[in-house]
Amino acid sequence: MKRAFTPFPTISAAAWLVLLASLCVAGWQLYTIGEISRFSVENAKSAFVPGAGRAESLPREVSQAAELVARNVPPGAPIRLDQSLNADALMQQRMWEHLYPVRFSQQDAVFEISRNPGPSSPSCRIIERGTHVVLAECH
Amino acid sequence: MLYLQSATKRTRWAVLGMLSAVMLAYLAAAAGFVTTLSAGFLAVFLLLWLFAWAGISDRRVLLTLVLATALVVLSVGVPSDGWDARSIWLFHGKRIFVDASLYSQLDGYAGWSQNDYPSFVPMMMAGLARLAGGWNELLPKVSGALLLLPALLVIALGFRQTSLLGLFFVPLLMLGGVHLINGYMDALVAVYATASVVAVSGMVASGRQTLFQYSVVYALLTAVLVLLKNEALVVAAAVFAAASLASFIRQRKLPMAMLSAFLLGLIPLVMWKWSVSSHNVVNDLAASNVLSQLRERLPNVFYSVFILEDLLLRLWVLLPLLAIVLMRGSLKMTSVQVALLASSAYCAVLYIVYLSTPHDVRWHLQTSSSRTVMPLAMMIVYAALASIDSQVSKLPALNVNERIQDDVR
Repeated sequence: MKRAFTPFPTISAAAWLVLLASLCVAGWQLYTIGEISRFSVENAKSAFVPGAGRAESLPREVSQAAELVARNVPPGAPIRLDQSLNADALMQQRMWEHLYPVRFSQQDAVFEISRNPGPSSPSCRIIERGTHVVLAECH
Repeated sequence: MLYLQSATKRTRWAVLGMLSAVMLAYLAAAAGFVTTLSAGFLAVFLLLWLFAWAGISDRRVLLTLVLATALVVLSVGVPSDGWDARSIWLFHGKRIFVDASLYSQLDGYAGWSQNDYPSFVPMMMAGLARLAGGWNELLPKVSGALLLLPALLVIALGFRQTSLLGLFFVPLLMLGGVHLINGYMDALVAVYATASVVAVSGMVASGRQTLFQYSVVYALLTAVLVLLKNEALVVAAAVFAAASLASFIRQRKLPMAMLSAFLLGLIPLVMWKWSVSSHNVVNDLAASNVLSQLRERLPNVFYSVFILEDLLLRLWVLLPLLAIVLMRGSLKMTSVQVALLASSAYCAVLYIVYLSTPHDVRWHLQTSSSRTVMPLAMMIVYAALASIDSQVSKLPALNVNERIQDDVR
């Protein structure tokens, strides 16, 4: 018996083909996005740990400055950046946002963060020296 | 075109629930209950996110959930190092988390962080950190990837063919790229703009018998869209204007349900703008002299050609436009009309913004056009695929299959 023509099997096969091809390309895209963004399973595992991802997300100077400030600066006291750090937009913005709630004020602060070896001015007293940045008290 | 009606009940409820919960979380935070009520509603949002898996008997829902989950997993595992993500969104989120106030950023501190930008996603970031027990550099940015799901489900239910939804995900991933997971708002704006086109097209097509559900979904999508970032208001207005025009041409009457839903969706943004203005916080672009820049650059054709070339000569703009032109009768479809009109209006605004920028035009385009063009491209891509979807669904054998599927649902 001659079968009646129906477009259904052709369309269905084409639809499956389109779906499979799309899924392959989408999967490859997801892989590429992960590669570009430096995805790591270790990061994903530590997603619920307070403070996790700091080393991967921030310049070393910023994480170190946060540690020095946490150890030595009394709560509520403002801090400032030395001229070279303040002129570097990346450093300035990362310092301001990562160290929050510590506030920066170039005019009012006596605590200053600078790159190693730190300030040479006699009006500054070095409080703690890190491998990348130095915390000093400058009057 | 009543595709939202054909979705499984569970998914529809999940979409409505997620959008409502996240909006309630924002309103609670706006009322001062950041640490309690707002975090609670955010927890409800997360539960509903999981509840959406109850709709996986629908292949479109399954596909969407797999994509959204993959994006969430990727987002958790990548460092938060994007410039705008850190300097604006995550910083605002951290300020809300630390100070327990939605309005923390309005004190004038760190003016470079665009303090006038809405704090909707930062509110989610702060809420996630609170639920997780502390702030870190990985989890808060996942808010963006989580927020994609309700809008993606609305788009998914706009398709009849799962294969075409799968095809839609390819340009979605290519256009959105890393911005889908790294704490930027641009991909979210594009996805919510496209979801708004789907919802509002449903309202236009259903005419006077507009379902209440369409209106609620459209109002909630608009509310979230305009709270993502300042530029999103332009996209939302373009979609509304396009849909109103399409509706007026059809019915010769102002679409009151659509207007009410749109205005309702703007209320949270108006509240935010009122707070911004009462704290005297200004936007850097708004503070620039737009007219003098326009007067200087408009007579020089080079600027116009350069800007339009950069905005429009793109694969994911030209390819779907070609498909729409080649597809018979596609221009009669409501969703195609709305998407094309909205894209044109948004493109016109982008052209004026770049022409009047206080910065160097070339620099401004190079640093932002690939992100600002996302909503435009995604709406056109959706229009092209919706048009193909409609043509394929008209084939007789498939219509029988569709009816059977509808009966099963």
